[in-house]
Amino acid sequence: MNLRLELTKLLNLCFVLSSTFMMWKGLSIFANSHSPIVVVLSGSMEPAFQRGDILFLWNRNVESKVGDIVVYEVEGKPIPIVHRVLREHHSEKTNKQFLLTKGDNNAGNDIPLYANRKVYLQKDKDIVGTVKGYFPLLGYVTIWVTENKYAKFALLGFLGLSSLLGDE
Amino acid sequence: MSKPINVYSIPELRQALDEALPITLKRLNYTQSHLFQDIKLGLGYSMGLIAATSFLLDKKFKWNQTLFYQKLLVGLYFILSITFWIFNHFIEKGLTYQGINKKDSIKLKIMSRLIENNSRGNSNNDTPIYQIHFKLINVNNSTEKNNELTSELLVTKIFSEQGYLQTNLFYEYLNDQINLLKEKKKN
Repeated sequence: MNLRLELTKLLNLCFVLSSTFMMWKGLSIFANSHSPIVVVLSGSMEPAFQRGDILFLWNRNVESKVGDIVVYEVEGKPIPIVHRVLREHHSEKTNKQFLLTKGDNNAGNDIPLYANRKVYLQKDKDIVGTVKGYFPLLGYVTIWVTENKYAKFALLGFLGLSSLLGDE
Repeated sequence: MSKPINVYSIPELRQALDEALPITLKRLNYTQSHLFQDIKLGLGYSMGLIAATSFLLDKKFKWNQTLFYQKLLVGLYFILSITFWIFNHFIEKGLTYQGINKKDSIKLKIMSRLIENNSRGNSNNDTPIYQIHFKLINVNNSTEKNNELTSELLVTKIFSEQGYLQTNLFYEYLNDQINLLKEKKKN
């Protein structure tokens, strides 16, 4: 067995994984958001966004405007929420901005969704990013894989097979 | 005896030939130098290590806690990627083999590539060609001219119909080419 040859082969696999991850990290740092690309999981922003749309976020803005669509995270809940800014307030003393959000397709605002009985979101703490662009339907793969337990194996199997049958 | 290759697979053919080069040249008293390979492996695996560190930090801590380190790691990864690319394109330049014959004090560098014959518009012959570019460098006198030779080998000449590499034929072929190049240098 040629150790260098085996290591080189393993290195190619290593490159695929590491470059994908580092590109994601690079994008995160560039957009200043821990998750610069998200998938819409609910219909609460219809007709603007449908389930399965992919959103591109930007978080280098200091303040959000009323009408911006933002993605925020609630403490203790793993799933980010995409909703529109309905009202905004400044604190002159602390220079902080507080936001109230609402889903376009929801009847009421988001206060019942916020953590610890808060009535606002804090821009610099809770907001993951502002939506700057979207791509329709592509995110359905993610929804399909997370919601169907067989789909994950199907996808993994497909990736495995294609790497076995592909060139080199 | 080596394993047979799939005779319809160009990548397998190229790999088999590139792997056979050092083995065959060893019989011609050339010792392979692994320097470039080792540099690439070192660079590559340090990049893997950086990515793994970044991944672990990402899993264990929150985004804001490790942001500074993540910036550092991404920057480092970027620099190493560029170094790797520069090394591949400007320093290694497609070198498949380099070795030294201590007895004759000759350094041998080989670049090889596989040409699909029909890409030259030669439609009645589909046999791939293994193109080998030899460069002999005299260790004591590196300014010599006339030390390069490009030769082309029809792969059907050294592979059997079942896909076995005929190692002796390959050995003779390489030996002939290197001797030819030595002759060329003398004149």
